[in-house]
Amino acid sequence: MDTAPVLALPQLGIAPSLPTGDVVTLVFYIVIGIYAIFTAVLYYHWHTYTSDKKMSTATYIAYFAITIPLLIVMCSSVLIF
Amino acid sequence: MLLDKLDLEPEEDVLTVVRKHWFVLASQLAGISVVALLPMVLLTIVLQVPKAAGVGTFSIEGYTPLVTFALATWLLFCTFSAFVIWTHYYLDLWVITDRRIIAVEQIHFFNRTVAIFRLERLQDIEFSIKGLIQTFFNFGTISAQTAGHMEANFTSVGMPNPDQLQATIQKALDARLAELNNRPNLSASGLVGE
Repeated sequence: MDTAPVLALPQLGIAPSLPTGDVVTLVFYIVIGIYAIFTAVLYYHWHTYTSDKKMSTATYIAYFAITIPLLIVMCSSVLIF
Repeated sequence: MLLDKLDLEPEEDVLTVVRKHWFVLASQLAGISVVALLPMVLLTIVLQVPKAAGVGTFSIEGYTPLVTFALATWLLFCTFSAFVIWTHYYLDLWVITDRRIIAVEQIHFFNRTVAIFRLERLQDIEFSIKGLIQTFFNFGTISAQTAGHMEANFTSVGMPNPDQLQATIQKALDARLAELNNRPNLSASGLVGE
């Protein structure tokens, strides 16, 4: 029997309820999309306009060192649902 | 690379590259850090205060993955903001050469202005240091005004050592004017802007 928590949205008339796991998974996919776009924009600016390649590399390393663990945590949370 | 794109003239030397003062960056990053930590502080208060006040307990048991996901998402977006701030700080600069001032302003992503002014057209350069923090850390607003068909000026806030920067530009201007006086054919050859 499925005992997962649900988000009840009867007042919106969309659906009687949405499983929280599905909502979180959907949010995760949206965040991944935003992450991909932001990363591309950040890379473009640092690749095109920088005056120091070493600083660009350091920025990329710092960016991925911070964001990838966060994405792993998010992914783990989604998988637990 | 930026300096390749600026297309410096032959024998044009870069005297200095100036970015905003580190305090400008640090204050903005401190603000983002506070915002990033806010949910954790609120969660701690919500969990601890009712227990300490003896009015019952509030538990997130059963919602741990959801809370973890929300916090990680929040931190991710705060990280985005921090890197936006860092990018704008680093890509926003003044390049001062022995012939020109090149002011690059990174306003937002995909919103960038590059203003180039020849030193010999520079009419006035002034700076202001206002307030306790600017005085203590020695940074302020510097603005330059040029003469031409359309009078133009540009201003940049949060510049470090504005007095030294003004002196550097003034020295470069004097050297440039002396060079032009000694070699008037430079003006005729088109190396000097219209």
